[in-house]
Amino acid sequence: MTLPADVKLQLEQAVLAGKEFHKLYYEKFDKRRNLLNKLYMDSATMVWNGNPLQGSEAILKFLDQLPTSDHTIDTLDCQPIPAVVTQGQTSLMVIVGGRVKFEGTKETFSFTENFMLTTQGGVWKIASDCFRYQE
Amino acid sequence: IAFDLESPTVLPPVQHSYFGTSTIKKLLVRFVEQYFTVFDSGDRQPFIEIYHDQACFSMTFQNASNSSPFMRKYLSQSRNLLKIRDPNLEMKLFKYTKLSVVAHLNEMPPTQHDTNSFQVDLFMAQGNLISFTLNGIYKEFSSNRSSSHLVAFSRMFLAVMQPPTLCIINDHLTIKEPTRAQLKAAFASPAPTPSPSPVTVPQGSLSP
Repeated sequence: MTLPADVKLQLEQAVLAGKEFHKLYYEKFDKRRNLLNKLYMDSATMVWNGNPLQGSEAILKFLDQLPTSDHTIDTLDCQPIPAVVTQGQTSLMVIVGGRVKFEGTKETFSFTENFMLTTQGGVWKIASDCFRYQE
Repeated sequence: IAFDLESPTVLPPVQHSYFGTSTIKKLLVRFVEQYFTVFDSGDRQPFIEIYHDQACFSMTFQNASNSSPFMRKYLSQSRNLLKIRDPNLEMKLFKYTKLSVVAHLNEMPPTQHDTNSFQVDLFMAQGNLISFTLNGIYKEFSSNRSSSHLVAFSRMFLAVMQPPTLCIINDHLTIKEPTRAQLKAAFASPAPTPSPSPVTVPQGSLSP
């Protein structure tokens, strides 16, 4: 099936954004975690292994208290969110699969992380984030 | 006297699930039960009732050194943007519109999900729009159901709440080889005995 031109464009835009985003995000996470605050919306929400966090301040405080990390990313997929359900707001889903090793922990965890990104002031921001180990 | 540069080494405990409010929890628990009853029934056509006209679906297979040939067959269907070099394939593996998504789900092999393994995380709720993930285990059967293989999965949905159900817009499936702990715990609890209270599922969903 051929995709309609507008959907194709949205999809291409989503793919470009997702590819750039995942590199930035995990690089900052592992090396300069304090800079992640620029990627989250003020009102962002996150669930980390079932622990809910409300607002970028709470998220950053939580992430900052995690041990030093080393992420390896294995899979990346992106889906645009149809504008009809977001009141025209350009938004997309980024789905990441990878492995993470934290300092002080023997185990390497396989994980999936899902992000909802939305545009704010001409740049992509994380509106929601969900992280879960495979246990 | 030392410097205060010690970095944390303790990880926060993992919580089982997060459902947000009790209202959303009620809706999600019911939805998940019904959704996977249909998914495992052998006929996924009833999903036509609950997917949005502009619904989309794609899947990725998280390959690893321990992946079995059984799982590796999914490499060709995996929309892994880090691996795909052909833009046409990238488009082809993106299923768009209700008809195309439901047709694709219907073509996927027969499954049985271990609902006891499910962990649900509600990670976005804005107005009537919600997004949540499901992590767990299912059994994939060969087409004649003579053999099966355990698969670990992570599913993500973005949906509009339309009580008592949901209208699904984005649907993503990640699959991978189960860990040893997952294999050990899979289907450990006995299957529920048929309960006298009827389970409400969309009509026709239980036909063979």
